[in-house]
Amino acid sequence: MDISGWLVNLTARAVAESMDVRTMRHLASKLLHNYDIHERTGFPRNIAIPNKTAAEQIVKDLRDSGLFLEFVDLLIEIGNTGHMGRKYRVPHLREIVLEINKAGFVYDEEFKMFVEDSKLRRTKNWGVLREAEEYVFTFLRVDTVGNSDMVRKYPDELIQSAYFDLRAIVQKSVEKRNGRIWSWEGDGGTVAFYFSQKNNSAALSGIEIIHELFFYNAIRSRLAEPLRVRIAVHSGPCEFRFKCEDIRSEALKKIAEIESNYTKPGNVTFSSNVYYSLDPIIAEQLKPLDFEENPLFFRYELCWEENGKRVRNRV
Amino acid sequence: MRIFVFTENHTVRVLFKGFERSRTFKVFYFSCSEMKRRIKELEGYDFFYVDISGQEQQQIKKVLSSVSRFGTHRYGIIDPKGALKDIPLLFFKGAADYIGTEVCKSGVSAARLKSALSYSPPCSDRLPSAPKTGKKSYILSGKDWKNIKVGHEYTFCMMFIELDDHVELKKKIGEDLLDSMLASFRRYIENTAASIQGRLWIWNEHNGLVLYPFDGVRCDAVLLGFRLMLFRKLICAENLPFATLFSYRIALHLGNTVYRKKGQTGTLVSDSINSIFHIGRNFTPPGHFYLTKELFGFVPEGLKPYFIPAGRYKEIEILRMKRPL
Repeated sequence: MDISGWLVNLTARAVAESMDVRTMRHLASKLLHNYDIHERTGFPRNIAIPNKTAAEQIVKDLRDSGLFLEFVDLLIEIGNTGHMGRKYRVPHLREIVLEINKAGFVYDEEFKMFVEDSKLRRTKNWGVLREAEEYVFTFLRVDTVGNSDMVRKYPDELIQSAYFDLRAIVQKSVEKRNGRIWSWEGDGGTVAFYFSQKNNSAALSGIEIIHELFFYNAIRSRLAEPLRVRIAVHSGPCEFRFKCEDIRSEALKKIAEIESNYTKPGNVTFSSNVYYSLDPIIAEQLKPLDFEENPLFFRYELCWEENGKRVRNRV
Repeated sequence: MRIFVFTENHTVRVLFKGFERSRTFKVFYFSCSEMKRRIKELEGYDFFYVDISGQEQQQIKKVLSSVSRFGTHRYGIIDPKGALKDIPLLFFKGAADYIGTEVCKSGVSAARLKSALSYSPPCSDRLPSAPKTGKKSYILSGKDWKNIKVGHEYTFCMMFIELDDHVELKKKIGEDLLDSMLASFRRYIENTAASIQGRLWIWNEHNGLVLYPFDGVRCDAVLLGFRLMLFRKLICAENLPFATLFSYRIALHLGNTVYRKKGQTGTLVSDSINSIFHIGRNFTPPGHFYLTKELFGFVPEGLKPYFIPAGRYKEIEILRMKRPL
């Protein structure tokens, strides 16, 4: 994010007018460990630093370290709930937030942080996750059933167009729920969810992809057979990396295993850690994969009522 | 869509040469002597032309008065020699097109045919309402609302939608929460219908009627009805409050009504509106999507196996969508 000089000055003014140097230093050291305001400003330790000078130095240092938005997150938080038992009135916050909004970031009340406005921009890290830091994500993995056979059977143009359509379906379903496609390899890929109710979002996206593919096969597809996918949903900790191939993660290994070993064509399989945190209205649509007492996996499948019976979707 | 041309003159075929390979229009030629019999074969949104060339004035008058009596279909007159003196009179009597000497030289274009099909004659509001046989007079309202005028009769695709089990729901969640739920449901239906030109026209406490303009060529409301049923669980989870699985029923019908502004429909008398409310309230079970046979033709081929016959309401054949589970 490009931070204008005007925004830096306004933020410095807001800080200088709302707190003393000690509090400022305390807030700064939450983001920059061992932050030494005297060293940064060049003031000897026995001389008091003027509020304005300290605030300007801190805001400038945080901007240069790429931590400006996180610092504004802190200002909003202390403006709302106070800091160490004391209330603070932070002036100009409204103008600061509006300026950040203009740059394409919105404040997420639930996570108490700025994230990119997905109406304007969609990046792999939602504009805020940091390289090499660990977060808990919910992943959704999609893979086309019988890809090798289909590639052999159909002309390249036809199969590429079908996979392009598949990607468009996945993208539409996940991005409207704030998911991000992290990797896509022709016939399938991996999607990450981090913000909001990530397990619900991933589950609803998986179900929606199955339904949209039903429509695609019934109405639009030019292939002689239905395009079918296997989808898995799993949640776990993972380091964020812009280059997906550099990520080493047990959660990603696990989801690949769930997709290939525990998912039937046309199904979505959910790991138990996702299932147990789903809203009941979604969880009720799923069935245990096996009928053991503590099932590890649950699945969703589109079925139709036919002559009073439950029949699997054939398209 | 079929175009029947009644003519004794082979050269008239040149006028419709451009439609030989058309997927939208199929042109059939018959002798004028077959007119009475063939017109009975016309489906609602078909169109016919009568060629009056080579006929005496007395004979022309007879033909014109007989075609205007058919009343339930759009029609046009082909007059290559300009024999008709009072052309506006034709339109007063309900004609939708006149192909005179000049047009005969250039031929009939697809744009002209579409305009004729969507033309609503001034006397259309006096045309008989849908007969109970299921064969209707289609007064095509077009793709959108641009040409729809208050006080005129048009053919619309009508969607009835009702939230099921409202009595039980009221006991379960209370009147206030039910009202809030119904407001969200209504808003969702209103927005979703608007995406394909639908307008929520009538809203009663738990149900409503959405009108979609009908151009005789496509009917996206069929697909929307299917989607609303297939995505019900997702809609309840994401778009309606309380994250509870609600059930709704949908009925779809093609019918005629005089269009009035929303809120001014209280005194409207329309056989089609009566039918759609009856089909929706009394014939469609909770959680189902029913549509009348005429609309089945607009269901994409791949989705047709998901509809099965569900009997008749009065003389209207009805199909139901299999339920997704």
